[in-house]
Amino acid sequence: MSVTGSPAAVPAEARGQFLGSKREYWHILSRDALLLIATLGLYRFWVSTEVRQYLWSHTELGGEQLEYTGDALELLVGFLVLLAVLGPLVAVFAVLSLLTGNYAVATLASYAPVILVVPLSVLALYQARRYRVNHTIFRGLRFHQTGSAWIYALRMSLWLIVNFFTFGLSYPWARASLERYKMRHTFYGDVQGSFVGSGWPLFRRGFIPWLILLGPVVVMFFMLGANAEGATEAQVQELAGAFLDRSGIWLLVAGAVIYPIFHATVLRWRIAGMRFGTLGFSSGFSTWRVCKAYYKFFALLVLIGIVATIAAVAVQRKIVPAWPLGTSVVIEFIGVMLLVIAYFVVATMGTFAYQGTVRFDVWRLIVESSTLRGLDQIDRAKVHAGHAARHAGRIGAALNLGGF
Amino acid sequence: MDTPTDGPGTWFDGVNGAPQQVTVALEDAALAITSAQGTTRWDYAAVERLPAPGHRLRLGLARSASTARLEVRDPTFGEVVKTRLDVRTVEVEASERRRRHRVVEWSIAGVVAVVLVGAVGLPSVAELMLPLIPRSAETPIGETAHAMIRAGVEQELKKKSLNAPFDCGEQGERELAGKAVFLKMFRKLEGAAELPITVRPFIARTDTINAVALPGGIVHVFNGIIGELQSPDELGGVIAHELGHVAHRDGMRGVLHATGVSFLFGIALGDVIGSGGMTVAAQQILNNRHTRIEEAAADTFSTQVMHKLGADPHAFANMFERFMRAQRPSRNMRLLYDHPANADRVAAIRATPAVANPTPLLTDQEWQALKQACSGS
Repeated sequence: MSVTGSPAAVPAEARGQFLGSKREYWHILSRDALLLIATLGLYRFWVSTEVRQYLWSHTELGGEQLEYTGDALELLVGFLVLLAVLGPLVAVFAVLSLLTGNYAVATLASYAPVILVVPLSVLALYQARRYRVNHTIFRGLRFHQTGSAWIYALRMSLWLIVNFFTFGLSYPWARASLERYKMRHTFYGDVQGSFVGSGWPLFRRGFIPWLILLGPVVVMFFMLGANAEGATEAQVQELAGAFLDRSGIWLLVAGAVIYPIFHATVLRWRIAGMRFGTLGFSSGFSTWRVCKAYYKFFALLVLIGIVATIAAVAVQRKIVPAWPLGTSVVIEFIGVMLLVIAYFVVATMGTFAYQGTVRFDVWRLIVESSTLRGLDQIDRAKVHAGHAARHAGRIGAALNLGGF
Repeated sequence: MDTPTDGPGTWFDGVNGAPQQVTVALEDAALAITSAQGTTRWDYAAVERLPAPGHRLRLGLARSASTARLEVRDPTFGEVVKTRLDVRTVEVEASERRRRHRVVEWSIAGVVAVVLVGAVGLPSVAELMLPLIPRSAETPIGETAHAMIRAGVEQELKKKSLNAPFDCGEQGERELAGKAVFLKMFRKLEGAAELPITVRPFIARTDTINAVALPGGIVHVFNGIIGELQSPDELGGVIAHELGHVAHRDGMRGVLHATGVSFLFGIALGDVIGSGGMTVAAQQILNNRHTRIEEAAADTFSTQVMHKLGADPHAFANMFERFMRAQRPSRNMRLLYDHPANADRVAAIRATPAVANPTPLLTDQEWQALKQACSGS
């Protein structure tokens, strides 16, 4: 057997391994928290870059680590470009909403920024993935994403409409279609990815959770329809209000319990369907451990909510009455600044609670439980000459959207 | 003990996906990486350390598009390689730290700038722009605000299953008579106020206790406040106060200021995308400071107009005192409270010259008629 020179015999299967620790991870997060607050959030590009660098570099697949080469400054520039485009647009809408003198136009214009953000987010979702994929290196070869964010966004919008009218039952096929698009346009070196998962298996596994979550809402909806027949307009409004209240509360409570189960199911299905040439994956992590990560996160959120509320009440009772309002402009500025900082403290705690629980735990879980089959495929992979665009997707990435 | 000058490494050449076992030799100026295919040399100065777990040493070429990587997994040999790289690595890490500090410093400076511009710059700009905007340009803005308030009130009426219009004074004789008295009183005050534009007054059919002056000279007196008032001169004070806002163009100034603040904060903090709550809060508080000064000026205007008409300029203060007794606005809410502390306002109004024997703006009979302007019959 040769030791140097030619590659050793390739094992048919290899396992993933996560070499990081939660202590190190929290160390990064807590160091960044102060900077994040001091810069009112602008530091978030550095935080996400550091977090990715840590997660990627501590992930080993078949004994080799991943590497993230993204640059925070690039994301910041992407963000500034986004502002330069959106700023004037928002300004135009603001002026429109003021000047028309027409109620309907004004209302529409005041919602325009929100309406604008939805398609933009979908576009950004694909672009952000492009940025992550293009800045991931494994065994000296870059991953690469092609395809059009516009086409992806169009597909996604159409599927959203279908999902809406089927009460979400078409979701597995929607997801399969979108995964196929993404993976078909993802390359490892010159090896094209694909997605072989189909809607049915996901439908079978997801049907019971769906029934528990949305079943009652659908029933309530049809009951509303039945009751509304022959009722006056005011009665219908009252019924609709009650429906929205009840279904909202149910979705919130049941959703918090069921969403983690759903997320685990979809993740396993997605990983099992991923291919790069003949390289395949499987991941047999337990649903319960994903749930545990989520429930920890929810508990932290509740805790943060309680602490923030107590702090807010204490400030209202003790500090605000003693604050000499209306006497000095400077003192009022300080008040505004303190409020803004308080907002960022709470927002940062919420984000980091997610990063430290769901993000980290689910990542580790996936890596440690994954198996790679057909490793010889990556040994045969070559660099792809055309894939070098370094800055691709940075504007979308600046929005910080998406998972892995 | 001799320091080894070569050792084993794992080489990813950036062209093939298969790792290669190589020998790494430490030459004077470069790392020599020798595989079955040949030798690659990396200048120490061009090499950068990349994040890797544990004791593993992972190297690449700094500022290069090349994805070739060298890994040294033997910790002892790794330490030796590191000593050759140290100068360079320390430099790279220090420059990265410097860059990061610069970003933080600039962000803090930016935040301070945004706050200063929002708090001092925008009001000044609004003040400078105001004379440049013709009064006629306010009209569409006022119409938009008017339409929004009207729609809100009409929705409220519909909820109560009342099929009445927003404007009072059009539903039957008592309403007509009440509105006529209102208009007579309004025009009298308007005449004394000597405004450059004609005001369009409305009595709004809502129980909300308020009155508003919109850009372009539209004034809404809500029926709710009429119900709370005990004398025509109190109402006169309220109307004259709103005419003060029209005279000073406070509505337009508010629009300029609010648009500026939300735009500035939105852009500066990336609020276009999220965290809208903060923009609103900042706007509320910064605007608040603004309205305090404007309210005080409108109060003064009100007392001057009432004084000119020989009515009681201090009646307006009675209203505030009654409100304060009835429902003290809790001090808790003062941070976001839209008006200056009522006690301060009362004191300021009472400090203006009084009228010795005031003539009420309306007779008792007229006053009673006016109160019926929204009676619905």
